[in-house]
Amino acid sequence: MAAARAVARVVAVAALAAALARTARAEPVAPPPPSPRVLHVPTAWLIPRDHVHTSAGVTHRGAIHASVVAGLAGLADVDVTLSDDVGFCDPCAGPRTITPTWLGSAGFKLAAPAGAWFRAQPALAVGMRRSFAARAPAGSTAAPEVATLFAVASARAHGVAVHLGASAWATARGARPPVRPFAGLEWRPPQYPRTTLLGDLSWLPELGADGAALRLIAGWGIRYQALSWGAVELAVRHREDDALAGSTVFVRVAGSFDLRR
Amino acid sequence: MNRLLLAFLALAAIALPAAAQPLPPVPLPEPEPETAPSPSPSPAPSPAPSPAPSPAPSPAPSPSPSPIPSKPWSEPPPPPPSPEPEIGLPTVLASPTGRLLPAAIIYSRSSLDTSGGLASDLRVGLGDVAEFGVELTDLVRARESAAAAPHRLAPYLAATFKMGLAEHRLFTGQPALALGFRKSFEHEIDGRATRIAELYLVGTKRLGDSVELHGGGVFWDASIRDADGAGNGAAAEDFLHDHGVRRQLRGFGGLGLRALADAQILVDLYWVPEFCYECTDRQIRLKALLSWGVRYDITRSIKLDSGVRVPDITAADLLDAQIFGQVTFLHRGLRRAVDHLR
Repeated sequence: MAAARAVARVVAVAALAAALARTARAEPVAPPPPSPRVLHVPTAWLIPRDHVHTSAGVTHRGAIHASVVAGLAGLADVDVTLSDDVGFCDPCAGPRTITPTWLGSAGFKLAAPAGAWFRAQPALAVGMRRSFAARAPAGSTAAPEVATLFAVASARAHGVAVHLGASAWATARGARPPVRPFAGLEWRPPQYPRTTLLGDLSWLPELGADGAALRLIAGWGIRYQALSWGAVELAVRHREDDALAGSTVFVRVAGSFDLRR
Repeated sequence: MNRLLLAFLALAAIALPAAAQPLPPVPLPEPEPETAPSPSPSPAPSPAPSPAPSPAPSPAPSPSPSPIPSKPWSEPPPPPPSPEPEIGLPTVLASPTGRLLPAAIIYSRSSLDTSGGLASDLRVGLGDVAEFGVELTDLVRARESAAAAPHRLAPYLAATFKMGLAEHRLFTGQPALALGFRKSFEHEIDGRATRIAELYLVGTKRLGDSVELHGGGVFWDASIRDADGAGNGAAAEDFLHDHGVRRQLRGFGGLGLRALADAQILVDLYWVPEFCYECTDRQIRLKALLSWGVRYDITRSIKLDSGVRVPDITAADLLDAQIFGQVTFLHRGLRRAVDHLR
């Protein structure tokens, strides 16, 4: 039954994506609005001032994703995100089982745009993300808490955008947060100006009854800029130590809106 | 000694604004109409403009004649509206500034953060030299023991009074100065009654068009007592001032960088008391609060702040950090009403 519901959700989002794609044929190709994240890692680009970037999606496991990012004067971004990026494992050893769940978090990112200080300077950003709501995993009464501090640089040339950064993750009070690098890549082939190939690599916490561990997570997929303000993302997520069958397929619909209109 | 120092500071703060105030115009009696010629020769009176309009119509200077008839010369012109004051906000993100609200400007700020904190601050400017306000703060925290995680004491109700001098009032280059006092009402929860009070002196100096520096000192006091007399091994009542001035006095500062015409990057460091219920040595400690973020002037009267707040930077705990958002409204209605009454 749950699998049928998940399949129905994916089919519904795919139908929406197809409808957007049909509409896109009549639209002139415009540069896509900047995205605040690749798939799992943040970018150093900011939402244009007085714009709001929203995205919503679902995985084939039934977990949902929703995000609202608001540009703050073109200096910073503030967001509220509901996501399943941070996984819960039970059991965590041996053949692991990741439970689909959700984690609500808020983020703040302060950035300097590319070329702000010198000509070849990439876009630079420093940010913080802190969870504010989560569902307690099975067997636990306490809701998990997660916080991360990150710094990222983004540069674009010839249709290729590269994002490099590092993040410190905290999942337990009093423990020294480990620092891990992350990277992201976006490529928009000139033959397909509406399509962007996405890939990223990062470490994300995986929470369990006995504590948390940082695990490598990789994502790859495409973003199709169906409309000047909207895009559809279809991607796959692989977690460290997971078999191929443990991968997660997800689809998201994203839009960028000018609040001054 | 402390009381003498406080009394001297208070006297100086009262005297400085008074010395810097421009003298108000003294209302003089209306001159009586002269009924007898003055014995001394008076200069010839200057020709006064004729109160009656000329009977001959003057050619209209404008190609499109105005349909509104001109007012008679005898009607006095309306008083010019008071110039719109530049409003410097009374806080950076958490720490106070040396700026004061202009007279009759109402300031309100509401904020929330990821740890569930809600805060509100309402102030009104008094005569360009002071401001008064009440606030609900969510920055005061307590913990059960030294090893336990702190939790918020909220809502914590406090009243604020602040007085000071605008920048360049006494001499060119003088920073804006303010002396403020904040006193809480007694907050009782979990069988403990706590209070806080602070006295601060802060200066704000603008450097060029885009940088603003804030710095000052704060003198804290606080108390905690067992409201139900349980004790739990700790002293029945503990005061911060029992542990010496060095535990009470702290320096603080802030920086505002106007990166865009309508947006600033803000950083500040302030101190807030934290209570510990079961600690036997000291139940009250001052914790350093670091905040950084952006203030966006959406309109002249609405400002939106967002950023990151670390309630205890010495703990270096990322999970302790909070993402906050706050909106500030500046109401000019009272000022317009006062101007209208004048």
